[in-house]
Amino acid sequence: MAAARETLRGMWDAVVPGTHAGVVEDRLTDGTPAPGAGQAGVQEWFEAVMGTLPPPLDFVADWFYRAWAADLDLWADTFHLPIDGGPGFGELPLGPTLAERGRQFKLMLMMKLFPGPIELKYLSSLLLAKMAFYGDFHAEAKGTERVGSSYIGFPGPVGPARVSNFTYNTPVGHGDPRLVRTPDGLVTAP
Amino acid sequence: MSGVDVCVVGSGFGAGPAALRSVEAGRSVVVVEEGHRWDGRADSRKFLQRQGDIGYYLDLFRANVGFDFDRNAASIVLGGRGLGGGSLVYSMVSLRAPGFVFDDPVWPAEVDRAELDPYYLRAEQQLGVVQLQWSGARPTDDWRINAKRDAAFAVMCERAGVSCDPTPVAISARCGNLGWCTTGCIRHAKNSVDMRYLQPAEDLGAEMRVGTRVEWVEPAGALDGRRWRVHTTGMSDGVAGEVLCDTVVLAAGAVGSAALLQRSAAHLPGGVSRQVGRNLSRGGDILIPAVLPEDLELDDLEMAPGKIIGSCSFQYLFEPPPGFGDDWQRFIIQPMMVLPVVSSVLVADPDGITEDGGDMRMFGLGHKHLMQKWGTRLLHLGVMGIDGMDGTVSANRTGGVSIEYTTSPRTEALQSAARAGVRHIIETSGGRVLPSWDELRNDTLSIHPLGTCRMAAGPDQGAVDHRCRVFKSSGGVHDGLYVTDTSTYSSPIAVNTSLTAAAISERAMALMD
Repeated sequence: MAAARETLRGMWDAVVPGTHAGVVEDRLTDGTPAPGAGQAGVQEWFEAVMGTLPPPLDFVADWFYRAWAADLDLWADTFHLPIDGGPGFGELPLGPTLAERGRQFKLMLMMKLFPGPIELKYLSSLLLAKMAFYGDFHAEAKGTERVGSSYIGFPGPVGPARVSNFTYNTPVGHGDPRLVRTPDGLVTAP
Repeated sequence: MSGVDVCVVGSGFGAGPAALRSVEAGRSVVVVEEGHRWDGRADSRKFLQRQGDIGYYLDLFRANVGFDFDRNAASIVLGGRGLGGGSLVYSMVSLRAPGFVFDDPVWPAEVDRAELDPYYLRAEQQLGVVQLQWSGARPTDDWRINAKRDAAFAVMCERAGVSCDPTPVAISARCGNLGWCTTGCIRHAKNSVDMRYLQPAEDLGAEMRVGTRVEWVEPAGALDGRRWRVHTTGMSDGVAGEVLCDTVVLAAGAVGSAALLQRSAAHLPGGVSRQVGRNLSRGGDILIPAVLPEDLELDDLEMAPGKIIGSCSFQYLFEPPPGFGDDWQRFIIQPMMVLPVVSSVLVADPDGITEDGGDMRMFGLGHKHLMQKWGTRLLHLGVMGIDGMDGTVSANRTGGVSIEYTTSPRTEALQSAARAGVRHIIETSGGRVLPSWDELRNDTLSIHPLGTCRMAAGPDQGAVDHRCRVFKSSGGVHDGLYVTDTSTYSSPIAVNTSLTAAAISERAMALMD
């Protein structure tokens, strides 16, 4: 399960667009860190619900992975080397709603798939949790009704209540004071 | 009158401004490019299909490779192939050269940062350069907010007391942070030369003659009605052709332009400077892999989407890394997204020396296990700095090009300073710096080649004057013969090279008679 979990964390970022992903989180108005996926208990949630998803969610998840696996077949002739008895491309439980996000990420993912078998329902739960989490995130950012948590009982990105001025964006590091700005506001060395 | 007013050879950052500004000035223009158009860029579906084809990459990249059997070392210079030149494969980072680089005495007195600034601005605006940022309104600002990889680098810089800034990049708001930048953007958000310079030029009547290789240049005959004759060969049919023109702008890159001048030298009355082909710089390129510290919880770093390069530490442009004095070779550090297929080739197992002395650092089971263990915790750091310009380009008799690099003390000084700077950032956070290629082998890999046709006060030091006009060997210039690409840099510039090439080309066109 440890290998699968590591893989799934990779998948999390492969699925979800955006620049946040638990690296550097924003802070809430009281100064405490805004919860990321980890703090929101996503992993615990999907481990609790995996294999118990109601239809049609289980169907959607299975379809998702089958389609992704089909897409991965395109890579087989070019890159795949059957080493260490690892699964063939068609055997990988993956799928391509992510067509636009890229085979690059799928390749990266495959590198981590070889160490251990993957439990499909575990993946399904993770995927849905991610979608719910970021669905709620966008709902929070826009001040609209949540979509993820109300549907599958997911706790949401910041807990049960909506938080005003929620954002994940926090400046990190410090810029170099010796740099200057161009008339168009671009950083440049003087 | 037959022929055209301006023939631009090449189609990258030095060529785009030459083509567009010439046609805007009312001149007739033909752009001659050895590669082809990337139709896939107009058709996302076709483009995606080609991404699965290894031939796509072989077609997209232009590699000049030299091998020194005495040193068992390869010299590899990578660029883009096709209409758009290097912009097809660049990372969109658009930085002005620091002012101090123009203190190098080879730069002509007329050219410094203040002189180039208006042309930088013009190039930035034409290319659509925007400033990336750490934060912004979501999701409307997503396209210009930095990726997790950059945030991780910034955190490590912060811990080490080192500065880190988001970079300016040439992208549009269509960017979806997909991470496809180098091999082509399926959202057409990457502002390349073909999109931002050549397309407008074509709209104004410039001709794009692709799949055509330029062999040499010579003065036209008295009855031709034009000043220059450009000899060409069709890449597909091998048929010889020519372009008659009044002005030739060579912008085929640091390798291509030098080789073209060398092949043309015997046909040019007055010849060319002996400096042509010398002082090839690798742009100070050093690629250093590192494993991220555990506490950043960034197991899946390479999964993070975003721009290929979104941040940069400029710290060591201004002050030396720990352990170095004030005479250090200056450089910048940029975290890069590297495809895992490539990454697995570039990363070496530091413990891969076998008991019998064999070197399995780049290959073997140990290397595979290393990749399994670290997987996407790998971060590649790209360094660009002031190296020793210790390469040469030579056109050979068969029409090919020879490249040779040595490693001068100045280049060695840059490499050791760069490793020290990277170690300081990574190891302060508990990460681990892995051996880089230049530590393991004598090989040289350059993706920012420059020099070979240096801009200088005279032909004893360089190949072109401050207006990019080609010197005759004994003084004076060839009227109407220009070089406007990275080959004209008199010194390395310690930052990404694309914008400066565009600015130099913009200036040359503004000063053209």
